[in-house]
Amino acid sequence: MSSLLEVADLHVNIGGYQILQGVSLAVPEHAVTVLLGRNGAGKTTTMRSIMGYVRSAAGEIRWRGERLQGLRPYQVARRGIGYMPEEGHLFANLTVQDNLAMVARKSASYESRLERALTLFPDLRIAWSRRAGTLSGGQKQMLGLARLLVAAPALMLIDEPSKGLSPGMVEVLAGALSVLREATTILLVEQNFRLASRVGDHFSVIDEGRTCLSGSMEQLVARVDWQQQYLGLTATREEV
Amino acid sequence: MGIFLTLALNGIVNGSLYFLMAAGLTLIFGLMRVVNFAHGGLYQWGAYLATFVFATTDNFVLALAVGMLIAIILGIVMERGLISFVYHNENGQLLVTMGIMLILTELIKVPFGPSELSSNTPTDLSNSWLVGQVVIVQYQLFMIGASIVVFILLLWILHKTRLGMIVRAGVYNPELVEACGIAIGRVFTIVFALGAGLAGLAGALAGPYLGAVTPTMGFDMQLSAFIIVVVGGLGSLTGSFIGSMIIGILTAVVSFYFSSLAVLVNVVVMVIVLLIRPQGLFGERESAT
Repeated sequence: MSSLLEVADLHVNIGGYQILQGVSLAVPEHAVTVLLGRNGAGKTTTMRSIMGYVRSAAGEIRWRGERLQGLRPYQVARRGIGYMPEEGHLFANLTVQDNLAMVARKSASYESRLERALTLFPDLRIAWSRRAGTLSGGQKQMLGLARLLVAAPALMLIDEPSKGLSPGMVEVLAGALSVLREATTILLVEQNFRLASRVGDHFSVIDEGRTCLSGSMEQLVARVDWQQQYLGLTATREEV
Repeated sequence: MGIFLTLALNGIVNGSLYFLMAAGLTLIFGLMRVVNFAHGGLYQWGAYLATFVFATTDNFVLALAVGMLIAIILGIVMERGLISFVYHNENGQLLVTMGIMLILTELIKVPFGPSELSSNTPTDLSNSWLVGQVVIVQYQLFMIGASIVVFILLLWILHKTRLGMIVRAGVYNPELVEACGIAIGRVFTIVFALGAGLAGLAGALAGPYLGAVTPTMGFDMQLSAFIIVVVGGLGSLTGSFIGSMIIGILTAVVSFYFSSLAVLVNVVVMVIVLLIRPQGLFGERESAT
């Protein structure tokens, strides 16, 4: 299976600290790759480095063979990489309608993608003219995902979409991610292992700024010892 | 009664001029959050160049265009050359723009000298009428009309166009705008240039109204514009328009009775508004979402 995106031995320093010290991962096309790791391991920094928000000190990020380092975030986005950050993934001062209109110019294909997003997230149709800042936590995540769906990038970088959501909303999110994965390739940062294992095909674990484990999600699900060692999960996984 | 109507008319004309200046500052300071203490310098350069062009060509439209154009060029050079490096550094903005203001103020004296330059009203706009006890000058109506046109145009751009939507989004979350594939730096340059152009237009219109342009005119106008933007509410065009009219009328009335107290009264108004409504008359409280 060919990789859309390849990250090789990525090093990133921020404010004098070595945040990433050798992250490597491959994101195969038409699959969901989940980035796992404890808090502060460097998952979000990896995402931000791919998007060009953070400058790397060493290593390579290649998109379809092209080196991404040195490009501005908007140039990365124009190459077909969509990004839903953990925080600030919508424009709180704009309406739901304008949030969705921000990602693409209106066209026939835009309208069909928009219709698909609104069918998937009917709450957004009801909240169409409301400011995004007034939506509930779950609706905000739905809007973030709908923005990606309307933008239709070749690769979606999605950072912790389940954070702060109720179990019921996580179920809705899992359904939405399942729909998204049919249309595109996803690199997902997710702390909720139950969700990650449901939607993921592949995984990479980052620990202290380094990639320490990669493989298929089936392997990780089968290896409780890996889950305990690298993710800090208990044997019963009750807390996830 | 005649005096009050005359003062009210003068106040509205003052307010129109203030609005043109404050509208640009609303874009740059209110929306982009750039503390631009060089805005008065752009106004001044617009005023001088327009006065010079009108005196030499007798073409007022050309004079207005040149006044705007010089301010736009200066604005782009300022934004790209210096201000874009201090977007997230308010102290830096303060120092950089104050430095630019001093340079612009001194530099204008090189071609035009330190004395004031008299500025004539275009013949086509010099008519006047006596309505009741109030003398209405055609140029005053022209200024009021210009400010209303600019107000409507800016409202349309900000709320009805894709550029306006991007600007509003970019002010709130510039990183996410870039993630949408939009070069936010270029958008900010366009907005800054538009704000600068409005300062230039205000300067170009101010010359004939004031009768002369002076090397210090930018400082005086800048203070009023900042007061208006704060009173109206940061980023609110409607607030700037209403604030301009309030400050304009207040200045006209107070100047007539106690000329030395005009600035003080404006500052007092700003303090009262901030005490009662810290976000300004039409401003919104910033949410953490």
